[in-house]
Amino acid sequence: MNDHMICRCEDVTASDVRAAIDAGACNAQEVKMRTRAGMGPCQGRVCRPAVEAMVGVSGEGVLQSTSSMTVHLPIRPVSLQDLVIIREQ
Amino acid sequence: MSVALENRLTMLSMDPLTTTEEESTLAASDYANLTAHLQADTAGTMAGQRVVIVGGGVIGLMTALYLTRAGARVELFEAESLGAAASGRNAGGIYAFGRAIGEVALARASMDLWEDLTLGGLDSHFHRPGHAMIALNDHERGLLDMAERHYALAGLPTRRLTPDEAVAVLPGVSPDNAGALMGTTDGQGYPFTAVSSIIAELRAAGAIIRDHCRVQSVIERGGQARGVRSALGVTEADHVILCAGPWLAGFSESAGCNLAVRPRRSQIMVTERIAGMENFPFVSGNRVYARRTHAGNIMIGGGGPWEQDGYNVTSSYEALSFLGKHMSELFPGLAGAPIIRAFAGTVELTADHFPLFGPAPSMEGLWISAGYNGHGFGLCAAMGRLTVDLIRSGSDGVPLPAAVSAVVGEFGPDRFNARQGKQP
Repeated sequence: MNDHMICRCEDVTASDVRAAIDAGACNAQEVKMRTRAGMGPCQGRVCRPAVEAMVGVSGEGVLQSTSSMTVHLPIRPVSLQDLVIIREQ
Repeated sequence: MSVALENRLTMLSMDPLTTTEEESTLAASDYANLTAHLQADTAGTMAGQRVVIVGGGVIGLMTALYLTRAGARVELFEAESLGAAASGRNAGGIYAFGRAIGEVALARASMDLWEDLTLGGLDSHFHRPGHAMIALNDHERGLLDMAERHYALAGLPTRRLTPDEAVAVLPGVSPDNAGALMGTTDGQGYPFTAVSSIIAELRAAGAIIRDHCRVQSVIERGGQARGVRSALGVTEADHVILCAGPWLAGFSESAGCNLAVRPRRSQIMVTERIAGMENFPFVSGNRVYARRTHAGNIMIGGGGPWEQDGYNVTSSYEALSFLGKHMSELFPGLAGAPIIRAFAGTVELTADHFPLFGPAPSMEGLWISAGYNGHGFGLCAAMGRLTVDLIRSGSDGVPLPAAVSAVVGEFGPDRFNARQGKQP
């Protein structure tokens, strides 16, 4: 199970996530900050449930914080030019 | 009739029109003296002293690192996640070029310390690709020419780029640029690994880190700070250091002075990984800045007075379109780059844009290191290291060395009680 790919965009495996939890990460956002899981082109659409599940089953410390992985704009990638168009509308 | 040309060099904090040659020359000798002072080995100089640090951002963590190395028994409290506010939501800039002349010596020393820490094993991704500030009109070109003179007097290496050289060195930059000035020693790092690496060293050295644990008050007895109160109860200490960044103002009463920091949102957006940009330096101009991360994404940011005050860290379309517009004008070659993520952080601003660093006037043993105006990630190494000197000046009666007071002597946290700062 440890070699299972959790985040395909950033090549993060289950053992990477486990190591982050063991080092003190106590919510999905903290796992992201330590592993880059969820920081690639899909922005966690694939890995988020797996990361949150792994944090959720880790037990100690989890209840201290319920912060889940942050959802960031834009929801799908847009170019800089697209952002200029938003401004001009 | 002449048309007034705008200055959009928002990363040029040094005003080349009001900075004097004396000030610039002093920055060179301040840096030399500080560098000599930093050769001293601090190991054991704080042996046995109990220190509580309030705030687990990069300032608090780096301070904890240097105090632990000096032998102190450190216990650090963070109300939420470690390194997750401005410390984890910044562009990782570690530079001196562009800084106000009064901050240049400190910023240069901090770059050197980041380099030392990294050579010593800290996983910071620190490297020095430089910082190129790009002019788009003759007024900006003129300001950069004046800045070049001041930074040369300050001993900070720079390189002037003609418009054609800028096109060659900075892939995608506007061919209509008016030239650039580049700080060639400026660095950058990766906040997430740096923070994780500091935490790992602290834990291995026996420091206690309490995240998701808010400090409620500073405990004082007989005019002396004795520790803090949190959900865990009372934690005794000989010294308490407030490194609470934008949340510092909540400790004004304990500190006995107005710790006036203004929180302001600052936003960043990130492109997909882009190939062929491996040597891209930090760049700025046209009201924005950008850098390449070690992973290959380009981060684009650039706040300013137009941003919201407060602790809101949601991204706004206004800011993202502002960044998109100004970045694609400065770098038309990147206009098609896909933005995958945007985020916001909170920077803390002081009235004169210099840090709050020194003793609190209310009691012995209470210290402040905050108010870094968005420069905290770069400055944290120097400020963490100099906190060892600061605390020894209070507890051991060791006077603050002249090399240190020359660069932090003006940063007393109670200075706004005496008089209003230079410029809000």
